[in-house]
Amino acid sequence: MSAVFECLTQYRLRIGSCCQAIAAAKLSLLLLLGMAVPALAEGVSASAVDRRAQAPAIAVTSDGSIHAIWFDKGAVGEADKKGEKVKGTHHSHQAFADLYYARWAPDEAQFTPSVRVNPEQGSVWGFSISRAMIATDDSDRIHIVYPGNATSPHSGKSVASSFYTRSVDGGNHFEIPQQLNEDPEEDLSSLIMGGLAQAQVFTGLAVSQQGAVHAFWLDTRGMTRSMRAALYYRRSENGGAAFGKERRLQDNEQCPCCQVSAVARGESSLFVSARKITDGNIRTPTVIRSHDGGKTFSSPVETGGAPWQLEGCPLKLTAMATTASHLHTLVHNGAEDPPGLLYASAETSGSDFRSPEKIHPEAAISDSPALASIGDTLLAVWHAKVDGPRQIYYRFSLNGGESFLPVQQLDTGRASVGYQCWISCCGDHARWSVCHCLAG
Amino acid sequence: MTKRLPVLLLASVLTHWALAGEGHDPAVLLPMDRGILKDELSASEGQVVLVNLWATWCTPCLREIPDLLTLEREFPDHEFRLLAISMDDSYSKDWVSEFKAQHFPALRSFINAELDMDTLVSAIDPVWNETLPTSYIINRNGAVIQKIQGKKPVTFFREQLVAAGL
Repeated sequence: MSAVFECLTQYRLRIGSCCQAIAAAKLSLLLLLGMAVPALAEGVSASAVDRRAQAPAIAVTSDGSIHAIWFDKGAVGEADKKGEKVKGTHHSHQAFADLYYARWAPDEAQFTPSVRVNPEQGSVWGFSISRAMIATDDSDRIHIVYPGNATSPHSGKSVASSFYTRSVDGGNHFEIPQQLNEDPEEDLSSLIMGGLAQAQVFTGLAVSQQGAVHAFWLDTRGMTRSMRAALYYRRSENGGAAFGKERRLQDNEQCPCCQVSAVARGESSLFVSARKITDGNIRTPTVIRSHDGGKTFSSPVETGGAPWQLEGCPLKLTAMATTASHLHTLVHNGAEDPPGLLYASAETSGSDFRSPEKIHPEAAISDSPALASIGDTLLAVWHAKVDGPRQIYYRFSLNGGESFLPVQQLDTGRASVGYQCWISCCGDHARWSVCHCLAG
Repeated sequence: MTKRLPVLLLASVLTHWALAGEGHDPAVLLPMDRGILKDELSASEGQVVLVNLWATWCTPCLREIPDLLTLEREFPDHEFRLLAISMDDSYSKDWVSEFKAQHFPALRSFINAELDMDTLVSAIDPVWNETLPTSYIINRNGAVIQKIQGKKPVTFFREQLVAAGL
């Protein structure tokens, strides 16, 4: 999906040229009063310039460290790895990559040297459309889910499965990954043009402050020619040390190629978004809620927008974040004119979503959303084209999404690569961070 | 000069047909960048062109290809061109070729050689949203007259191509 580019340039939004940390509350006030214009620190790369990197994601720990992961597809100029033929054929969804991790500590000039997370080289199903996810908890544990290449013990054919790993020492070491999904017996290789017998990927991850880990994925079990996936879930209540049994949350109604996203609030609230396929092949972003820590979930609620009829691969996830009393979503709708990102919010207690609005009305197209929140301050970041090449834009809301400050452009200095490269953003009480991919 | 003019005209027409009409060997997956895309479309003026963006990892795309090959057989070469472009990463060229040879040996296709999908496709659609499959119908004057997203039945494509002048 992408060739050569530099990955993970991190920006800190800061006041003027001062490097002092400004508490989020004070920053918000200064922004509101117009006394501060977020300025940018220099970008810092996390991946090596001679490597092909994709789909970055970041999370922060309480010490202000930024933990970054990305897919490494090999050296610049090196052909993609090709798997061994299984039963005489290469399957159609080939991707053999590695998952790399690096850490940036406050006041450090650079990220740490990157390390490979997956034990076996090439064992990551490295499609940026099914990105790895990272999250942290209040004990500074780092949790990662990623799609991996595996072999079905039943058919002997290639499958793609969801894996979880964690670090309990600040990213110095990662535990041996554990497969989250069971191994289905069904061989669906004839459905997916030969070879790939099953897929349990497009994994979403939410972690509570106390370390309850919630993993969700799209599952091809029960898939027929209508190509709808089921939504599965697995939970750990002890910081990822052990997981309960997997559960099927939604039957085969989900778009099989739009990654699941999830966010936790407190210890009991969970919000999970997938794209449901409704009558007429409409690909509809929906959210299900849990208010008992994942024991039960509500029926799906639509986030709104023009119905997007598509028999194809939208490859679009829903970005989500929560503030005190609201859930916020940002999602691409290809049926809007022009197509672009719609922002919508709903009360976390369970109401319907308000009518969505375009986050970037002036854009010719907008996509690749990311959302993060601190208190009632919300940061939305995305790719868009206005009247030239693709750039990165952002907007703050200081009042829990009631209104947004004007659209600003993030000056990366170079063109940004594809929408599928994704943007990730997060914040702690000192700063906001954004990571993305730049053209090399 | 008067005597050479018909020869020059004939050479020009033959070159045009070589570029646009017959296409390349289907066994070869040719790289395509923005410049090559523009050249190919320019050489195809006079034909109705269906540009089809597909990828090995896009199952609806793969299901659509046999229908597109049917259309290619239905319409005369000098009237219609199917211009298929794989949006797989160009670093995957070797095994994409192998995959195509196994499943779609008759498909003449290029493979994206730009940094990312959008860099290539923006040459004809600056606001493409990286959704697959996407097809564009281009009329005989080289203008994009329709964008089609998602798999459609062969009857739909046939109707649109006829409406475009076939």
